[in-house]
Amino acid sequence: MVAKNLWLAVLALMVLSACQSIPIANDTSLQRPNEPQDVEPGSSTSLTTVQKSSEAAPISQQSKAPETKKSADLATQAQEALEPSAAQVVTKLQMEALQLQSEGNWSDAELKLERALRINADKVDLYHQLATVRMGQKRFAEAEQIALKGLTLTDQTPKYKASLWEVISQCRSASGDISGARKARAEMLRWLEQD
Amino acid sequence: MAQMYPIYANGFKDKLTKDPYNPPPMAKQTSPRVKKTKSAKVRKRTNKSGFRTKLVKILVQLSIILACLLIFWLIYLNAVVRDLFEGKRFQIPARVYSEAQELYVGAPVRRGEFVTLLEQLGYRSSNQAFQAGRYATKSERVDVFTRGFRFWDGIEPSQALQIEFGSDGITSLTNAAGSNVLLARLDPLYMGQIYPGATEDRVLYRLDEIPERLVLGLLLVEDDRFFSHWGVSFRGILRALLANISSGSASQGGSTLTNQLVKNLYLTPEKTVTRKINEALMSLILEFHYSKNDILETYLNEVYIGQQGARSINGFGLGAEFYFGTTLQGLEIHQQAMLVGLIKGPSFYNPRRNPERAKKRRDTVLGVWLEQSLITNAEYQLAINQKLDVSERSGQASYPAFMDLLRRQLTNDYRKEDLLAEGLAIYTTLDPVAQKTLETSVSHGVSVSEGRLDSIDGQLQGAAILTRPSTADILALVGDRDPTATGFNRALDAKRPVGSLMKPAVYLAAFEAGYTLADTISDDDVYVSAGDGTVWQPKNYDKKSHGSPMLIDALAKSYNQATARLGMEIGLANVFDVLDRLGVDDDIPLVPSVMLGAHGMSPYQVAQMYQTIAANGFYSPLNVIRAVSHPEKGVIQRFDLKVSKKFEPEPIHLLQAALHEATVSGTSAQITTRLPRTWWSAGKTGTTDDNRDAWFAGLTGDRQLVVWVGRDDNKPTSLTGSSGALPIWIDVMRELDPLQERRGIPMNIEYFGVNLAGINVPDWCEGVRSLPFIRGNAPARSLSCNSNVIKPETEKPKWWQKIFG
Repeated sequence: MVAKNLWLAVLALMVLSACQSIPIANDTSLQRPNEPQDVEPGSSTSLTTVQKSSEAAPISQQSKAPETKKSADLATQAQEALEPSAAQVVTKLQMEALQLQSEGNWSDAELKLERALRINADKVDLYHQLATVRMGQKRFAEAEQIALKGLTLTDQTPKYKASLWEVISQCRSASGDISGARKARAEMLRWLEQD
Repeated sequence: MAQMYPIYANGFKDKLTKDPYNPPPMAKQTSPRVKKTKSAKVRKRTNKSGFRTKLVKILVQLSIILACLLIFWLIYLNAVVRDLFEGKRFQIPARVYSEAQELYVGAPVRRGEFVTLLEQLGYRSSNQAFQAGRYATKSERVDVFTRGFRFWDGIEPSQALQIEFGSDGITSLTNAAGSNVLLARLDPLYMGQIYPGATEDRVLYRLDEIPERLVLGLLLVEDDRFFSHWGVSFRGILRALLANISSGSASQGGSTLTNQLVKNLYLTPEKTVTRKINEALMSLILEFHYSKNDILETYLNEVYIGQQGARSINGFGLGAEFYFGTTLQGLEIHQQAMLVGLIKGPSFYNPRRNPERAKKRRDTVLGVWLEQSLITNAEYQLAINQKLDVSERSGQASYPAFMDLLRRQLTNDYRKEDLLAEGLAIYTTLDPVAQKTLETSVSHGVSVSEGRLDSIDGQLQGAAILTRPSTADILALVGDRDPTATGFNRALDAKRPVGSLMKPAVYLAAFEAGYTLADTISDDDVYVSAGDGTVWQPKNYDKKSHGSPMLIDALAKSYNQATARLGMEIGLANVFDVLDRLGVDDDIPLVPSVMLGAHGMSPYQVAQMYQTIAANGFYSPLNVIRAVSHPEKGVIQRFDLKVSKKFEPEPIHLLQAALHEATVSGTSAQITTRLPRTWWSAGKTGTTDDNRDAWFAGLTGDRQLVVWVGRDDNKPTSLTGSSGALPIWIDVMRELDPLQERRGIPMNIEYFGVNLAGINVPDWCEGVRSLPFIRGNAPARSLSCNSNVIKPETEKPKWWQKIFG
C-alpha cells in the first residue's frame, strides 16, 4: 500500500511538472512527431525493475511502470511539439487520460483516448495506453488484443514495440498463460536490445 | 373403523390374510350369524357411502389440482401481460446526434466540406460571425462562432474561431483573442428522435394529446362499452359464438379493445380456442392491473394499421404520418374516420390498394359517428364527399436506414431498463457530410445505370455502407436509391449472392498455407464434384482459359476457374475457417460454389467481412454508437474498442497487395485512371450469374465503402461490378478525398522483384514486378531475366487432380 502511494506521488509530481511545461502560445521550435524521443533515465530503470521482478509480482505494481515511463514520454513529446498540430492534440488528450488513470478513473480515461484515436489511429503509444487502461479495468484479454493491434502499426520504434510486448506478457501472466508470458517477455527483451 | 376392521380392534393383525367373512374368535362374543348379517349390512352401507365418499374425494382432489394449475397458469399469464405491456407503455424519446467535427491544426477537413457541414448544422452565413450560430467566409478562411454543446465526455464552450484551410485540411486555428486553439469541437447534427425500447418505428402520443373526436370515434366503432366492461365482453362473445357456430368457423371476434390490444401484443396470430381463452384471461389480468386510460392510450399507440413491405405500421400517430403525411392533430374528419375504419382490416381496406373498399368503410364509420351524434350533419356531408386524400409518398424520414440500424444495435447491445429514461441522448458515428455524399452518389449512380438498361421501370435499386476501418465506425448508410424512403433497408436486409467478393477468402487461406503471390495456378477448365453426384463446372466471365497466372493476377483479374482450382487445392475446410474468422457469421452451406459467391450476404455483412481485411487481420464489430448518455447515470456502456486478432498481418498484407493490383491492372483498373495516381486503393468487384447483382467493396485512405446495385425482383440487369457499382464508389471517394496515409509493412514481409514465372530476378530486367513475400517463402533467385525454373512441387495434393481434372 505504501509503495503504491509512493508511486502515485511520484507519478503525480511528474505529471504536474509535465503539465507546466506545455506552452500554448506560438513557438518557433519545430516539432518532429515521428522521431524516437529521448527516454529519461528514470523510465529505463523502471523497465529494468520490471525485468528483475519475478513474474508473480502484483499487476498493479507493474502497470505503474509503464505509466511513469509514459508520462515522461508525453512530457518530452509535448515539449518538442510546440506548434499546434494533430500530434499535440493527441499528446494533450493522452496526458489528460494519464491523469485520470492515476486517479483510477478508467472509464473517463478511455473516453479521452478514444477521442485521441479518432484523430490519429496510427499512434503506437496510444494503443499502449489504451491497453494499460484495460489492464486497470482487469480486462486482460482485451488489453492483449489491443496491444497486438498496436504491434501491427507502421511505427517500428523499438521502444514502443518493447512496451507493447511488456503489456502482452503482463496480460498473459494475469490469465495464467505462463509460457506465453515468457515468450512475450523474450520479444520485449529482443526489442529493448535494438533500442 | 373398528367395525370395518374388527381384527385391528383387537390387534390380531396376523389374521389379516384370513377370510374376512370368517373372523377369528374374539373376546366379545356375538353369534356368528348375527355378526355376519350385522357386519354385512354395515359393509353394504359403508360400501355405498364409501364409493360416494371416494368419488367426492377424487373430485375434490381433482378440482384442487385444477385450481392449482389454473393459478399457476394465471401467474404465468400475469407475468407475460406485465412484461408485454410494460414494454409498450409510453416511452420518452431519446435524442439522436451525429458525430461532431473535431477542429485542430491538421484536421483533414477541407474548406468546401466544412462549409457544407456548417450549412447542414444550420449555421447562417453573414458578413461577420458576430453571434453563436453564424459563420463568415473570407477566401481560404472561415470565421465561425460555434454554438457549444454538452457532450457525453465534457462541455464544449461556445467560442468565436478563425480557421484557415489548406489543401490537406486545417492549417491554422485561432480564437477571438488571436491565440492558438489546440482543440475544439463543433456541435453535432441533431438527427431526430427514436424510442430506444422499440425495435420498430413509432410516433407515440399521450392520451391527452390525441384529438378527442378520434378517441370517441374509435370507441363508438370498435368498443362502445369499453369503460364499463372488465376486459371481456360476454355479450360480445356470445354474439360471436353464435355467429361462429352458424358459420362453422372461429373467425368472428367478440373483441373489446382490451382483447385487441392483447392480440396485438402477442406476436403469433393463431385462431384456436385455447388462444381465445388465453386472450380472455389476459384481458382480465390487463384490466386488473392497469387503468382504462392506460389501456386506451397503449391501444392507440399500438394498434396495427398498415404494412410497408417488411415494416409494420403500428399506432395512430405513425398511421397519420404514413397515410396522410401529417400529425394526429392535423387530421381532418374524413381522415380520422379512415384511420378508425382501417383497424378492422388494414390490408383489406388499404386505401392505396383498395380505394373503393376503403371509401365504403370510411363512409360506414362516418355513418356511425353521425348516428351517435359525434359529428354534425354538416360535418358528415362535408366528409362523405371528400376523396380518400391519402398522400402519395408513404412516409419520409431523415437517415431512415441509419436510424434503423441504430435501433437494432440499441436493442441488441443495451439493457432495456437502461434505455427507458427521460432525456436520453444517443451519440452516433454518422458523418453528415459523408452521408449526404453517399446519398447523392447512390441516387445518381443508380439512375445513370438504369438509363443504360433496356427497361426503365424504377426497379433498379442500390445500397451502400461507408466505414472507417481504424475504428470500425459506420460513417454513412444508404438502404434505397431514394435516401428518404422508409421501407426495405437493403443495406441490412437484402441478402444477395456476392459473387467474386468471396474470392479473397480463398486466397487468404492459400497465403496462410504458404502459397505466395508469385505462385502460379492453372486457369484451365475445372470440374468439381459437388458431393451429391453433380459436377460443378465454373466458367470464367469471358469463357476463356488464361494459362497459368500468378495468384496475384488470378485474384486481380477475378478468374473463376483458377480460384476454384486453388480453393479445392487448399481444401474447403480451410476456406470456410477463414470465412468464419473474417467475421461472416451466417450458416454457410459447405459447398464448393460458396467460394465463388453463391451464398447471399447483405452489404452490411460484406462490410463486416472486409473490415477485418482492412484492419490488418483484426476483427472489430461494426458500430454506430459512440455513446449513450443517461441524464442521471451519465454515460451508459459506451462503445469500447473491441479488437480481436484473427489473422497474422503477413498473409493479410499479401491479400491487400493482390486487391491493390486489381485496382491497377485488374477488374477495377478504372480506379487508377479516374482517381489520383498517388492514391493507394484496394478492392474487389463482384458480379453474379446473369448479372443480377453488381458489387464493389474497396478501401482507400482510412475509408472503406461497399456498394451494391441490383433489382428487387432479382432479374438480370446487364450490369457488372465494375460498370454498376464501381462508378458509385469512385464518385464517393473522389468527393470524400480521404487522407492518404503511409502504409506499413509487417515485420516478416520482404519485397522481391520477380519476372513472369515468379523467379526473383535483378531489378533491371524488363517486366520486373516488386511483390511482397513472407519471410521463409522467398522466391527462387536467378540472374537470368528469363529464367523459368519452376519451384519443386511440395506436398500439393494431386489425388483430386486425377479425379476431377
